[in-house]
Amino acid sequence: MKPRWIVISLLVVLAAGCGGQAPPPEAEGPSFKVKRQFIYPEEFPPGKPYTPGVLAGDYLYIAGQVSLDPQSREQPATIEDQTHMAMKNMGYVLRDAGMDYDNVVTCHVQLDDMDNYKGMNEVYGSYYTSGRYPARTTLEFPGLPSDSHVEITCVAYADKSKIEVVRPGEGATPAAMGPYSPAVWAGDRLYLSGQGGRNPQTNEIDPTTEGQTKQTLENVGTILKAAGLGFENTVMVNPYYLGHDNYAKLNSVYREYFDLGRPSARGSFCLSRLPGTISVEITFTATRNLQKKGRVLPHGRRPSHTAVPATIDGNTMFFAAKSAPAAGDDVESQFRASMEHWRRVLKLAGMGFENVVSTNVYLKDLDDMPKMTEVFREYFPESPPVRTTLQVIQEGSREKVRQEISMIAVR
Amino acid sequence: MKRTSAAYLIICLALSAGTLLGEHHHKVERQFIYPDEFAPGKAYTPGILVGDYLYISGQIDKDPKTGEQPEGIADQTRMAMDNMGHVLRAAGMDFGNVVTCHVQLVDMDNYKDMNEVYGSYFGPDHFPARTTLEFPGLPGNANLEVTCIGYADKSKISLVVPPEGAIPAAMGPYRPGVWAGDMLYVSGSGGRNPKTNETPASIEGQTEQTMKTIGAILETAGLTHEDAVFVNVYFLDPDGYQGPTYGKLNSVYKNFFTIGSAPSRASFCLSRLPGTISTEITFVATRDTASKGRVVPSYMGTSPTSSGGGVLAGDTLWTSGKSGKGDTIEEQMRDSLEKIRDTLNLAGMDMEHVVDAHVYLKDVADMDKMNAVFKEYFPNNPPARTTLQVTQKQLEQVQVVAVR
Repeated sequence: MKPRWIVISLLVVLAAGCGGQAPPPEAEGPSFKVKRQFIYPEEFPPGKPYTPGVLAGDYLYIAGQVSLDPQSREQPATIEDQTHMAMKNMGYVLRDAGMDYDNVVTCHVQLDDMDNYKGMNEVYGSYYTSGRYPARTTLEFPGLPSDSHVEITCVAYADKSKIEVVRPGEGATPAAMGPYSPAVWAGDRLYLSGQGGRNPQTNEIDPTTEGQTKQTLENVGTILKAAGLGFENTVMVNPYYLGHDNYAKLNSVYREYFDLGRPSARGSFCLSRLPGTISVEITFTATRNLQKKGRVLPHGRRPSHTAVPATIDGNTMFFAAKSAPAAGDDVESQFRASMEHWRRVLKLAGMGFENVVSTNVYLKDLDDMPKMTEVFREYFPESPPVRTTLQVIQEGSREKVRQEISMIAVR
Repeated sequence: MKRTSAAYLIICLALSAGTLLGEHHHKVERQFIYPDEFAPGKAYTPGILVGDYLYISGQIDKDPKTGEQPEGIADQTRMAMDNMGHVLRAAGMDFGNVVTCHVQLVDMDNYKDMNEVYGSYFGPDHFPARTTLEFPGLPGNANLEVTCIGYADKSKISLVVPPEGAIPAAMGPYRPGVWAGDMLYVSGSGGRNPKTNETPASIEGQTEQTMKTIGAILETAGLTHEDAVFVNVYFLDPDGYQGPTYGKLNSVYKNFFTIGSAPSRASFCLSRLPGTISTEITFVATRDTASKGRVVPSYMGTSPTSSGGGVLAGDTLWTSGKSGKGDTIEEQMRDSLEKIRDTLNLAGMDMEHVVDAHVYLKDVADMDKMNAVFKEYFPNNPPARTTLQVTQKQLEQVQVVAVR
């Protein structure tokens, strides 16, 4: 008795013609372990290099939504109307995925002027009716695509019964400055709000980067603990900081919180401004499935106390941000080198680019966006992932870095 | 009932991940080799041909149907080799395809006689890499168990022989290193100094010399220690891992790897090694470093001596040896296999991708109980397997090779 698959594969192989040719891809495309749906609302013009929303299992990844009308590309005049525009754009994706704003579990609100913080807050907060605000990270970037003044990137979760807010005791962490929750559970994954270095007791901010980083991580630790987790549960982290020189200072404290070789995937970015007077803000994602968590390292990669190339949480893989300044002066060469690096890492985990559901591209210069997009299309010719593109500051030793890409892939 | 002896089966190439068919989840095509000469119903498959690599189960010195054991090590060696020959033949190969062997004896005094018969199956131009060991026990009271890997494409098998005097002279019919495609199999090496022919008195000195000898073989092949994917470390100590030898050995072993780059590893305390050495180390390495990397469960820290999880080269993954928690052999075995599953899952694989398993028991009398758990995890098309008895406190230890 031969197993049935031998017969089937023989037929397929014969049908494809033996002699080194791969069988043609099947009409229904790649078969994924976790079911997914590509959400492309009719309000968006066709032909985008990314998909506005990808629903993978219960997680809906939404592309960064800017404050421009998706058809006319017009941008309203005030931050209030601009925020309405970005939120409505996001609403189309939620609607087509069968969700509403109360399914949103975490957001990055990206402004080009932190002075708009208050105006944005009022409008942003009005979209959540359950009183259960998503986790949130608010940042000022030196540039957003299409001269947009606000860009909002969110993740939503399909099963509202498994969305739960984590609130440490009164006074354990700094009071919220806007409509966000300290952390939100979505299934087995915990999304934390961006944390800064305000001391919850004194309400003061340490003047040094080291002191702020320490206080930030203490605040994060308090939230993780309230959720029954620790730093070992974290899967992805984004530190944001002001001033190139502060990166090493941040790391000197950050590394104390992780064993050698066991930190999370990480993408760190130098920005133009952060909320209030903080100069460090850190956003964590964590999992309660420690047993199904792991790390992936290509040959030659040395373990560190600050980052691993990729963390796996069950069927989801989180990638650090990858730059490739040595690959050439142009953004295409650098972007391709980053993607080839990620191809190796994907392969180690038994995945390929077709598994990628979400991408974040950080450019030194937004004028590079069309060139980056051209290469992006090469790697994602069909059913592309969602994408958020941002401009960050690259200076000092990072001056030659034209791009960084971070991703999420699902089996 | 024969699964397949299917020489007619054209293995065209790996089906792409995008065209998974039915219950078949393998990217690299494989054939389960179950020769007519073997009694049906075994918990393992005698041979698995996956891509070009043929993993052959440990073959003992008994008639595979009647269970009769010939007398004398010469005939016993012949029996084990003939059993292996059945698998090779059913896979369309011969002894010239064998690239590496572990020869496992219960009495090292049989070394010389075994050598004579074993060597007669190979040569004169080709001898596989080899590791010869004495174990405190083998399954079914066998006196000999031989575990080998074959490679289908003879044009991609080549021998690696360092310059005269760079490594100790071979004590038997084996070659220092053998290439099979992009994989290099290195013979078990001991701590004999190639110049003085002496073995250092201390375990540290022996380990240092052993790793240098391996380094010389790797260098001849254009590789370094860090290109290794899997290592077996064997040592002698009446107190097993709890004795002083293991720690001393590791204190030297780790110096040959940058922290975090050590290959997967499985280490065992045995009853005797060839000659006067008290440690022997076997390397498997790859030249395809672009596709090499590691997956490590987060509950494993960064070890200076082991991957702690799995090392991949292309579509093949080698796990480190795992022993489990629990009071009984069944509990421990299940826990080990769950740990192995955690590592496999990180690489996008599961138990059905395992092609070769090594099970190390504290007592081979636990074989039936171990088999029952093994069958739970591998109900259909089980992997090739080698079972051995070692000196250890825990009741079992498992190590596997899996292929996508």
